[in-house]
Amino acid sequence: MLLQTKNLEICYGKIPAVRNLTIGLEKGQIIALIGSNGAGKSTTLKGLAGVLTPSKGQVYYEEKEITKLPSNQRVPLGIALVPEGRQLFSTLTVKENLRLGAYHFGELEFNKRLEEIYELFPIIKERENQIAGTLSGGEQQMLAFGRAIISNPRLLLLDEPSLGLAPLIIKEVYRMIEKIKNTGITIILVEQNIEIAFEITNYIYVLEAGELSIQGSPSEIIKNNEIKKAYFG
Amino acid sequence: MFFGTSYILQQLFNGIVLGSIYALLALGMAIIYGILGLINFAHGALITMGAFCFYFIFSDLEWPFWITLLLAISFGGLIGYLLELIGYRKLRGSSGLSLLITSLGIYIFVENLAKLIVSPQPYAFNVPNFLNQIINFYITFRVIDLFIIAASIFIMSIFAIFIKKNKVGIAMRGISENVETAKLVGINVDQVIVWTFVVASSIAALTGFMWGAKYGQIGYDMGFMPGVIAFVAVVIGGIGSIPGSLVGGFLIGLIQTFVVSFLPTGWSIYRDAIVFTLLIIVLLIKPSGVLGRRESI
Repeated sequence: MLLQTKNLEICYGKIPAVRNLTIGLEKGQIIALIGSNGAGKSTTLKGLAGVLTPSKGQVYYEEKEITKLPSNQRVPLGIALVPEGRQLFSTLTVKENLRLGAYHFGELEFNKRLEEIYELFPIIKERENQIAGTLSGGEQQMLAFGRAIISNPRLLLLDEPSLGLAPLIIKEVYRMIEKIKNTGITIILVEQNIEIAFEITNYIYVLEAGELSIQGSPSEIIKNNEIKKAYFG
Repeated sequence: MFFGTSYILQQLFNGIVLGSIYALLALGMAIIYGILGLINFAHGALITMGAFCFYFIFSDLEWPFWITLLLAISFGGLIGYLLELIGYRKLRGSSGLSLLITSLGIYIFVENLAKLIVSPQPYAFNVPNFLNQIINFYITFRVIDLFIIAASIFIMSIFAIFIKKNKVGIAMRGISENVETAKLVGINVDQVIVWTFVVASSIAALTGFMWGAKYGQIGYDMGFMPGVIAFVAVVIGGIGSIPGSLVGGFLIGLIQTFVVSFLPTGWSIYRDAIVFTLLIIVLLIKPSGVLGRRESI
């Protein structure tokens, strides 16, 4: 298994936002975490990325425990997060953003990876010297993907990549996610747009008030009456 | 009152020499502010330490000039590293006020320690003869003046390349914009902060040498006023802006020199007061400073 959590609890202060969460995923899979606002999806991703430290439970990555490892030490291991709202360095150029995404690499490796990213996202190459804050929403999302992928992740955590984007751009973003998946990167996706999530994932975990309520393949989940009622009316 | 062209040029040159020192100090303060939100008053202590380190190695141990200068700069870097590690790291995430008070505390501690170790008397600061050589070329200056300007331009240019091209330099700018995102993308924030202190403190130690060489004497409290003036330069230029801090430094150097040279005798004692008045005016008219837009380096 590439990643596994056991009875994970993540708190904000003393209030647990995620409780008793046990999930796992194999290499090459793309799974989704879905649930209503405040269900603990983004918190889970932050815990997996090392931005938040779990108060209980364990996280295993490639069979090694990484529960307390900070985010800057997880990136070189191959775990990268594309945060909600993209969180680019808006005053830096596109290339500088990418340089920071590949911080643990030397110049030679960075230049090699940069070419690969430009191949994957040609639009980023065109905007290389542009200030990131001046890019369009879709371009910013591509850059956020590029900044994460340049770190050479084996596990990519995507937090609501469609948030705040126009429907046409969302389609483009998801074409990119398919493309990223085809490079062999394992993906955990947090998404409010359930239809898209069902379309591209192999397995789905449904969170409710910080706890796992249902899990299964998209076809199994869609049969569940509660899910049908909650998400598809 | 009439001033000849040569006199005006002479004062302009003197102002640029003084401004170079202030600009270097302000640069150090600006990068530390950018990355930690800390107004580092302890920066002045590095001026004193750099100057005395040079003094003891060069005058007492009689080591060669360039080696001594490198050692003094390195000593500043080492002290900067220790300051961050011992003084500030534990306060990471505290309010700006806690950091500010700590930096003042560090300055007062170092100044008093210096008073205890080196005595309250000023010391004559010796430099190699070639630095005191006088050159007459339309205006009159010493080699040390040229050295100060050249070293400042060199350091500023290297620094400009460093923050644009080097990954640690780019990370400094990234952290100053958003430290949480910086951690998230894998930047070792602690390491970058340490580098920031090392770079800023090494430069401050060098300015200690410059100050001593320019005025010919050093003392335990020599770092206080240049440190405060550098802070004023940072604010006038636009707090958090590196180009702004350099502009502020040169501006104050020129103003102080012009006050002494162009105003009637007797006004020179007000040269610091005039700088603070300028600070008040800038804060009233443009609180974000001359080049300040937002709090980012």
